[in-house]
Amino acid sequence: MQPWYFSECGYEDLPDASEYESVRVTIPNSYCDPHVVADLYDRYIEEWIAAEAAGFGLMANEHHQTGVNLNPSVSIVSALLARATTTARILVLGHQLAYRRDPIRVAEEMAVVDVLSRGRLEVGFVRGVPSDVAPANAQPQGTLKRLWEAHDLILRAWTSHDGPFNWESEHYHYRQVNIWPRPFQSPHPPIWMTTSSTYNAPEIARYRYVCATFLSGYSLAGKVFHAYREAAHEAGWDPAPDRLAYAGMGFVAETDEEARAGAERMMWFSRNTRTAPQFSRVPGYMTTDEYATMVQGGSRREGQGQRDGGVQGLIDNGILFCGAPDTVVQQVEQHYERTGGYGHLIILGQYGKSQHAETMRSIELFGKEVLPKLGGLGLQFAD
Amino acid sequence: MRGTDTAISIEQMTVAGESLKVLRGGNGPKVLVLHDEWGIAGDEILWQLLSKEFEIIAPIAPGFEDTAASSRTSTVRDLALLYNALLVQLSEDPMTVIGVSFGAWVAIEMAVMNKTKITNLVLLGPLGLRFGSPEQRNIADLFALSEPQLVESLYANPDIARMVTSESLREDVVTWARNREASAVYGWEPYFHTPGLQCWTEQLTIPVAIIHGGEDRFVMDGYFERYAESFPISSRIEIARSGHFPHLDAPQQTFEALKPLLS
Repeated sequence: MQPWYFSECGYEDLPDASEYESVRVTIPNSYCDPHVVADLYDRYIEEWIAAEAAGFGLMANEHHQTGVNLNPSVSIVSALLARATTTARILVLGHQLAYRRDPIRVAEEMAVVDVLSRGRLEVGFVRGVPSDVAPANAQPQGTLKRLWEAHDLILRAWTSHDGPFNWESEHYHYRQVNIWPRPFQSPHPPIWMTTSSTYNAPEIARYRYVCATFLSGYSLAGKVFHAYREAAHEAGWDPAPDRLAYAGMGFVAETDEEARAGAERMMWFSRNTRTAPQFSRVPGYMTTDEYATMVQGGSRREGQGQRDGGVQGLIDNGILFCGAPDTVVQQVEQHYERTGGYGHLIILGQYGKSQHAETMRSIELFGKEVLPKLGGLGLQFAD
Repeated sequence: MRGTDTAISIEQMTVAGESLKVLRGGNGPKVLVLHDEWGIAGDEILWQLLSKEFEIIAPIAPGFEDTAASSRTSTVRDLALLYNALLVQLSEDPMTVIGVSFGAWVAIEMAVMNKTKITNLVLLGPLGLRFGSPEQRNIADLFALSEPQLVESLYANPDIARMVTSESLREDVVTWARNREASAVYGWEPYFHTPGLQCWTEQLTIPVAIIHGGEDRFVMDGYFERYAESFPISSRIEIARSGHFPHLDAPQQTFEALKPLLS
């Protein structure tokens, strides 16, 4: 099992939700003190470095115009991780390709980070979340089509070494593509994609990419993994567990009680911030029926309600791994069993109002007392 | 037609190789009526008034209502080309084109490319042109406003707002959702306007009448004045106590303003 440590890098001192319309897109940056942010960047990098020492790979993402995540460029944060660490693999998960107008820039930046890290980079291509549509002013229609079109172009740019090539597709137009540097790894860094639905998993399986699903609990994660494996078999290949990844929240302390108190602080963003509905239900981003369901107050995503419970509910639904080390080992084993198994476990280890000291302790306990006991997982599927 | 006694027939036409749904009804001189960014829900009042003296031809832009989105018609210029082909197919004689909001944008795009089939334009709360500095928001961000903010910006009469938004939600939410998607296809970027279109509207030789609400909060102050100045032959009529859709807030006043422009 390859463990990954993931930090959302949020701005913990957000105002009361009654003071702003939406924590995504429109919250004024007058609430943002750059001196506080500078300290937070130092803190989050320190936690990533500690995670490397604990045996984790390091995962970073990006979001825009929000206090919930202070990384508007995953290229920048992955570049600094490449220089701040020496051995850990670095997972970018991911680039919001459907919203990026210049995929060649993504190809170039990721080639640089792969070289800086001397081949430790893994690159995720994602469509992007609805609330990042407005910051990019990205056309919400046709996002999947643009994602795959940009993917094709980036792959071609990474693997083309004989001078410029021409690329004029529906959305992207270049006549002289010839990136420098080229990636350190050959033919290119490993590729990941994410999905929260069973209908995207087969396409990811077709390319044999790592398929990650985030905070989807027992039921949906199991279905996504099943869809991937079934599609792979139909395509004539037999996936190993390292083609699948699950991302859950994780917090370890000396006792279950202490860990739960820490998890409560992690949940602060989820309970004390709000996103205006017009930024989460974007016409064209989802199917018409899903959009109509959301307009009427429903959820488009299966299992969304699983996230609404308290700490115990999140644990019960397989979204949060939380407790003393042995408790967490047991929870992960159970999750592995019930979802069929996977080769990568991504731990969102810092979120909301998690304090630095307790986060560092959680990372340390993961490294010393949890990860060593998960060694038997990830080698073969549970079922 | 829902809620009216006007007989409207639905024709599935093939225009320039594209499948196009066209609603037709009434008797008299032909007028082309182009719907707004919310679909046809608000147009029924207009049709009812017009169809007593005119034959209405109301195409549905691909992707709106129950029609499928089209890969070949995904911009307003595509739509204008398609509708110009429809005019050629429908009649040898030129006719008036009425456009509402988004439909008015389509109408001016048609007119700058069509010297023979359009007699004049009648534009209700028109969009399609942009003025001023980059920071001047000409048109409220339809996709970033909450529903109460939208209602506040669009309508002078909140009862009318309920008819077009909330009531539609209750009746047919999937169609409402599809119309929102279609409005994003055509209007997302550039946002409900064509950059540089004024160069061509300034060359138009047909009369352009602009009818707009006196309490339109969906567009910036002075928008319609500058809009009217973008055409060599233009007139502007302001309807009191009316928001962005004057035919909804003040149907009879709007019809009275509109009728002489069609005769």
